[in-house]
Amino acid sequence: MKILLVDDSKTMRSIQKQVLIAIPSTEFAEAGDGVEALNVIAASGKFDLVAIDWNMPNMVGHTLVGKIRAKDRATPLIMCTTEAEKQRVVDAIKAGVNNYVVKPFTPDMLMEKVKQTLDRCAKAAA
Amino acid sequence: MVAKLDPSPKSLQVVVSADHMEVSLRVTRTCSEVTPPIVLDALRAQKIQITPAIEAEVEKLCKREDPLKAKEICTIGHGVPPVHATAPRVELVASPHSEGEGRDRSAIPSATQGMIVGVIVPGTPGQNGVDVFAKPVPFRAAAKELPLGPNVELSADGKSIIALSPGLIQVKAGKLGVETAMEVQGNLDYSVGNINFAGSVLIRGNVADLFKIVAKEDIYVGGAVEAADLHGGHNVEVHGGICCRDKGHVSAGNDLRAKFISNTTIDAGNDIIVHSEIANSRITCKRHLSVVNGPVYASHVTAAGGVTAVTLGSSAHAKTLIECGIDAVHRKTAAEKLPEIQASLKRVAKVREVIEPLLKHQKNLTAAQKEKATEMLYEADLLQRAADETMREIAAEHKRYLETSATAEVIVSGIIHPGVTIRFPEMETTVRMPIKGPVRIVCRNVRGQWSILAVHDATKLTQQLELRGVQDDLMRELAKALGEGKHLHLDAPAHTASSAPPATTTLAA
Repeated sequence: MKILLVDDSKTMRSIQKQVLIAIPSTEFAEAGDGVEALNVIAASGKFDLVAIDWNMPNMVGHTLVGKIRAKDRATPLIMCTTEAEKQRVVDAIKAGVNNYVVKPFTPDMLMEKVKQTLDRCAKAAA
Repeated sequence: MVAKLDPSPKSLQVVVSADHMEVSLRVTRTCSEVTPPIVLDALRAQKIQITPAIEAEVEKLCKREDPLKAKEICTIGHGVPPVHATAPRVELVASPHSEGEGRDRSAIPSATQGMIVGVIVPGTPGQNGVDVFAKPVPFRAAAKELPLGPNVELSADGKSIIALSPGLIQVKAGKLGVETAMEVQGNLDYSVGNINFAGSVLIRGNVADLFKIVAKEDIYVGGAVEAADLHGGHNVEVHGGICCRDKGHVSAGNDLRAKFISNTTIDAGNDIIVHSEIANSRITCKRHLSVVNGPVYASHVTAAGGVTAVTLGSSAHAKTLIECGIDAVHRKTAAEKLPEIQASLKRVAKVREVIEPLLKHQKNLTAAQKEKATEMLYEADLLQRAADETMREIAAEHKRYLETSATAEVIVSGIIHPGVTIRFPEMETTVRMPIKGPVRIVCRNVRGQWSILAVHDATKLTQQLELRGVQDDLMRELAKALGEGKHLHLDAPAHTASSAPPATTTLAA
């Protein structure tokens, strides 16, 4: 499984990686902003999951989601962000995210959301 | 200038070497006016292939200023020798001859399983040659078999040699392999040096003072062990005695066997079996200690699975402490790990205490504070998981210890001398009067009260021994941390002196 972690905080990417490494046979790629993430996707091809922060330099997460969805409707996307307002959540879902994790989160919460997202997307694809 | 050669072909003789790789001209008599075409014709007549090199040589020869003398031989051409194929060979990754100084003079090249011990240097293909008659000269083929010795295999890419088992890296008859045992024919002394080996070590002679053997597997010593350090990952067997004069230390991951043990500190992960005696030593084993034909005296023995000996103590009332059903290694681990676990859990609680109110008022937090809170929650989770994992390991070890120690007893066939203290978890007794064997000293709950009993199997008599409580705070704390609520004999009368009747009282027949 290939997971792309997009967050301007290296610490946050490291935490997400340490939590999600429990998923067997997982490979990780990282990007510090939306532009870098698009480059990684262009270079590495399709990912099985992309976790995206909202507030990032160069290109915010919301825009990144739109750009990804313009080309690819299937890849599971999770927004991991400090933005907890209801309108933001609605905007993110409208843009095309499959799930939404609000910081601060515990490792168990993140893992649960990721599993939930992967299950839902797998069922939808079937 | 044209050399003065006789134009008659009879004056020229073409000489070809036995291997057909060299062609020469021999002049049978002094001759003149010879030109290259004449020489080349002579060569063609002998079916020699005329190459540009031969043509050049003939040209040069004909232009010689001094005349060719009779019987002079001039080499004018060669064939092309074949290039013989070479076999692939191996190069050691570790040098087997690196040397240290003093006791470390011999650096043994040992391999661990899966380690790359050598690299393959590929062979080269052969190429046919051509003789002076233009006939091919075949090259010599090389052996295709890779020079692999025992316990190694070729890596998937075919470039490296990987050890299949731990052991000594050796090149024997050009083949690189790994020997799983290392053997020293004589003594372990300055001629050999300290040994740190990934497999088993066999010393035919003695192990001299202050030398050291560390083996991942077994250690066998044919002679005696003096003040040396031996650490075997599996079994340690010393055919002679172990006499470290209070300087050395011998440990075995599993069983340890020796003829006798004197003035030595010994640890074993399983059983210790000694043939004749244990004296003035500190012995620890996680299972059973057995002295088959002799005494244990002036020593401190801790054996979780019990002790069997002919005699305990000595007629001189040498102070001897036998701890039965007590696991020193488990105690040590618990003593080290419990404070670490408690500190981790305290930190986890503190972090959660700080975060709790923040989580209740998340709307008031800035983005940076929310990210920091996520980091703290992750840190707390990590600490909690690490503490839980260590606790699980200790709990598993504790369970094994309880199973082993529950049936532990001291079995003596000869005599227990006065001065011997026998300690069980939370209680002990000191023998005041000789107890003749065969006898078993056991710890039993009799009518709701823990007692130390001497059970005489032959006479069917049971003797209750003087009892002192020995409070084991560490094990109590461990039991509490494990949620057991009680330790092995927590209801034993800790801190109560002589709660049992005198040693001579016979309770039951």
